[in-house]
Formats: sequence, structure tokens, C-alpha cells
Amino acid sequence: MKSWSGRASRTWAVATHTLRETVRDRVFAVSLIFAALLLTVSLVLGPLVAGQQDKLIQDFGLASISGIGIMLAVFVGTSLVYREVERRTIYTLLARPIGRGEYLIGKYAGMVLTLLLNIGLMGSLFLLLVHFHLGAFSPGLLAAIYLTAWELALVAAFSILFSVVSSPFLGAFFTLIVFVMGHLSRDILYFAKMLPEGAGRTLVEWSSYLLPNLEYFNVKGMAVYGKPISSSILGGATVYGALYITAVISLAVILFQRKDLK
Amino acid sequence: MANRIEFKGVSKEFRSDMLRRRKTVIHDLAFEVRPGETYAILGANGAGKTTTLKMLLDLISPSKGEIRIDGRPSNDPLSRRILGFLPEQPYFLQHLTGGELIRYYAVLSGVDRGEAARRSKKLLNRLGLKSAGDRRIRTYSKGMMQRLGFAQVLVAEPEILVLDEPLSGLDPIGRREIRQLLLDQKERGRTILLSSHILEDVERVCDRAGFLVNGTIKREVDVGAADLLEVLAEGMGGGDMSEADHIADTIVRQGELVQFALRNEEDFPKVQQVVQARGGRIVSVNRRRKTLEDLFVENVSAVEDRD
Ligand SMILES: Nc1ncnc2c1ncn2[C@@H]1O[C@H](COP(=O)(O)OP(=O)(O)OP(=O)(O)O)[C@@H](O)[C@H]1O
Ligand SMILES: [Mg+2]
Repeated sequence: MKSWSGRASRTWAVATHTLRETVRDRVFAVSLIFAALLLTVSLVLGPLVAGQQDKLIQDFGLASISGIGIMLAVFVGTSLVYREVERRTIYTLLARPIGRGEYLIGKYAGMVLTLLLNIGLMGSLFLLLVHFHLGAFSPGLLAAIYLTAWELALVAAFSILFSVVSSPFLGAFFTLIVFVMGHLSRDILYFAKMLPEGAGRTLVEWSSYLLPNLEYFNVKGMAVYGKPISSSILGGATVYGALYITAVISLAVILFQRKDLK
Repeated sequence: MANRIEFKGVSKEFRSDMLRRRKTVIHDLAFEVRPGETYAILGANGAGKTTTLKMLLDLISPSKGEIRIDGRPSNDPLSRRILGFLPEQPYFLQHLTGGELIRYYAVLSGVDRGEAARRSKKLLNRLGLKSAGDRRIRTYSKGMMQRLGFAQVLVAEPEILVLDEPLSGLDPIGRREIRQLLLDQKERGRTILLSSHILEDVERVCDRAGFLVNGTIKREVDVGAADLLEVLAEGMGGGDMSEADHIADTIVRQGELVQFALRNEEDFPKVQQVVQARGGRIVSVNRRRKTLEDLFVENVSAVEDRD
């Protein structure tokens, strides 16, 4: 039981059943339909914008993939664990020889699988559309989708963390704040430099260091304009994402282990 | 073998978030369950039965004290390897079918996939969920949920069964079936800890019972340790029966009739003497198992204490 294979197989069982849950949930199907709609709309709208249509289709497509992914990560992510606690389905599950850490990591992994499936389907559709429209697509688009997946995984980690300590509603609220601030963190730091020296400035500075810098995962502009995306950007963002996720999920596990399940 | 389950000096206080008021629900609770024994925690609504079982399962942690399962602290997930838990009014993942749920849980308990499928099929059949096994749990009735609850307890073939109000939510046929199932588990040497507030439910299955009053076990009794001989007599006139007090376990007067309950058969001649001395006669003699109700009556003081 202490063995890693036991842990891994239990965590994997939780993850695959979580994926089954989200896929059977209507939200997932709706998000796919919505994504298909958005991508089609971009094809229709494209010709209306003289000269820029290729860019518009790609911009719009990448933004749709990321936007719908964020919605899933925030709203499904914050309800996953909370719902099991609230409906008490978690009682019989945790009554088995499974640690709370294994359970929570399994839930998170299931959420990530959901996001990957979603992004995989949406991304394939998008690349197909671009391919038919332009005759080819730049590898930059693949890189942009890859980093979007990391960003979504990081946002989902915050969803899980916040839903362990609060309700889905508050959890979604806090996660959205992290998402917005995460994209503005450079601006926040810039803003802090303009503040007078003191506690307020230190606080703002620290919070901007503590919050993830989600712009690391944003290469959409470069991809659309066909600029090369270096492997150091990709590698750096990957390592950053993995470390940040590990930290957030570890904190969530510690808090979850101390929680009384009422 | 050492005790299967052990509570030592356990207390639990809940803090209500609003007023930061503390409420102690379990006070210095101590009891143990021995191997192969069926132990019932009896108590009124709100006595703390569910809280006790949830602490055992590490769903909530005690504020004070020690809880052990087979010698292992209950907050070690390993302690749950040999344990099955049925919560009160169980509820399960609605998007799964009954069969999927049981197989999923079996895998979490370390049963391999092939074996999980085999056991799940067998159990669902046995619990009358054969055709429901392929339906989403969303569509199950309350009684079906309770049966599914038993299936998920049994799928890991646990040595220890922890059951919170196992017979509630079932119709009379269902109750009978589940009671049979419990006796069956007993026969196989399994240890059972269950909670209830319905005496008839447990007296046919359990060996010992603890009365939980205000968060602590006030009194423990051996159920079925004593068979009683019931002697019914008439024509003895009024007055007290003090001369028979030391012979009979209880003496109950119902108008003309007097009922003596004897713990020892050898005391029967003595009762005969008392009856004859008063000019009465014995109408009937019956053997019956001492019921929990008798015990409850013996413990009225404990029962009256409830709020
Ligand atoms: N999470 C909680 N926060 C505050 N108080 C609680 C909490 N859970 C239980 N209690 C209180 O603890 C007491 C015991 O509750 P518990 O559910 O253990 O009783 P019970 O014996 O199982 O009752 P029943 O027969 O109704 O199931 C009750 O007064 C209840 O209000
Ligand atoms: Mg209860």
C-alpha cells in the first residue's frame, strides 16, 4: 500500500473517473458545441475585415480555445471536489485505503485530462480550419496551443485550491481574480514602482511576485504574426508551470488533509 | 487477538463559524470492539452516533483522544484496508451506473480489475440490483441506494464492517434480507460496529450494545448473554412481592397476573414456593431471550438523561 504503484493506481482510478464525470456532464458537450460555433463564426466574419482576415481567424480561434478552456477550468474545477463533499459521496470513497492527497491529486489530474481532451478536440478543429483556409498553418500555432494548455492547468490548480477552502462561488471568483491579475502582473509591478515607499507598495510588490505571471504562457500574438517561438520560451514556461502547479496543489493537499468533512 | 476497534478518551468539539461558539458533542468517549463481535451504538437522535463513526473513518478528526483500528491509528489510510463503511443515508456518484461504482470502489480498495468485475456482478445479484446494475445511480430509489451501500461495503471483503443505521430506509422485506446478511457476515467471523436508535433492529444481531448518551457511552450491556424464564402466575392477591425480589430479575404486575422473569432456571422451584405460599397458581412458563428493551428499562436512568 505504501508502494508507489498502489498510490499511482488509486490516483489514476480517481482521475479517469473524474474525466468520465466531466465528459458525461452537459457542460463539456456544451463547451465543445460552443467552441465549434465560435470557430465557424470566425470563418464567416473573416472576409468582412479587409486585409486582416487571416490574422483575425487565427486570433479569434486561439482566443476561443483559451476562453472556453478557462471557463471549464474555473467553473468545473471549483465544483468537482466541493460537490463530492457537499453531497457526501466522498464518505464511501475516502473510507477506502486511499489518502486524501491521492484523492485530491487524482481529482486534479482528472480535471487536467478534461482540459486536455477539450483543448485537443478544439485545437484539432481549429488547425483543420486554418489549414483549409490558408493551405497551411505555422508551427507557432501549435506552440501557442501547447502553452495555453499549461495556463489552463495552472488555473485549474487554483480552482481546486480555492474550492477546498471556500464554496464554488467564491472559489470561482478568486480563481478569476488570479487569472486576471496573472495577466496583469507586469503592469501591477510597474504600478507598484510608482507608489510611495511603504507597506502598501511592499504588499503590492509581493502579491505580484506571488501571483503567477500568466503572460509567460501567452505567445498567441507571436504565433499569429508568424514570429519564431524559441524553445527556451517553451521550455521556460513549461518548467515555470510545472513548479507553480506543484506548489499550488501541495498547498491544497495540506489544507484538504486538515479539513473536517461535514 | 487485540481489539479490532478502540476509542480512548475521545472528545469532539465543533465550532460554529458564526459565533465562534464551541459545542462539545463527544465527551471522553471510550469503548472497544473485540474480534468477531457485533457491537451496537444505541442512542437517541443527536446523541453523537454519526459523529463517532465519522471520527473512526477519519472523515473528521477528534479534538482529543485516540482511535485505533487493529492497533493502527485511524488517521493512517492503511487502517482502512480491512474496513467497509456504510454512511447514514448513503449517496453515490450520480453519473456512474451501480456496476461502475462498485468496480471503481473495488479498484480503490486494491482489488484487481477482473476480480472486481466478478465480485460486483455477484454482489449486485445478491442484493437484488441485478437489472439496476447497468442503470445510472441517478435513477435509484432510496432503498436501492441502501442496497448499493451494502454492495460497496462488501466488495472489498472487509474484516470490519462499520454501519451507520444500516436498516433505515428499507421496507420490511429489505430489513429482513439485510438482517440475514449481517448474520451471515457474523457467521464468517467478521467484526461489526453499527449504530441505531431502533432496538428491534439490532437485538437479533448484536452481541453487545453501548448506550450513547450526551456523547459518551453511559452503559454497556451484553445482549443475549441471558435467556430468561418467564413465569406467569395468578390469584396471589395484592401487596408487594419483596420476598421474590432476590429470585427474579424483574417482577411485573398486570392486574390479576404477575410475571416473574428468571435468569436461572434453578430458581424456578423457589418461585413456585412463593406462588404457593400466597395461594396462587402458575399459569404459564416461557423461555425467551432477554431483549434490549428489558435492558433499556434497566438503564432508564441513562435513557432519562437524554435531552
Ligand atoms: N459539523 C457539525 N457542526 C456542528 N455541530 C454538529 C456537526 N455535526 C454534528 N453536530 C452536532 O452533533 C450532535 C450529534 O450529531 P450526530 O449526527 O453525531 O448524531 P446521531 O446520533 O448520529 O443522530 P441521528 O440519530 O439523528 O443520526 C448533534 O447535536 C449535531 O447537531
Ligand atoms: Mg446519525
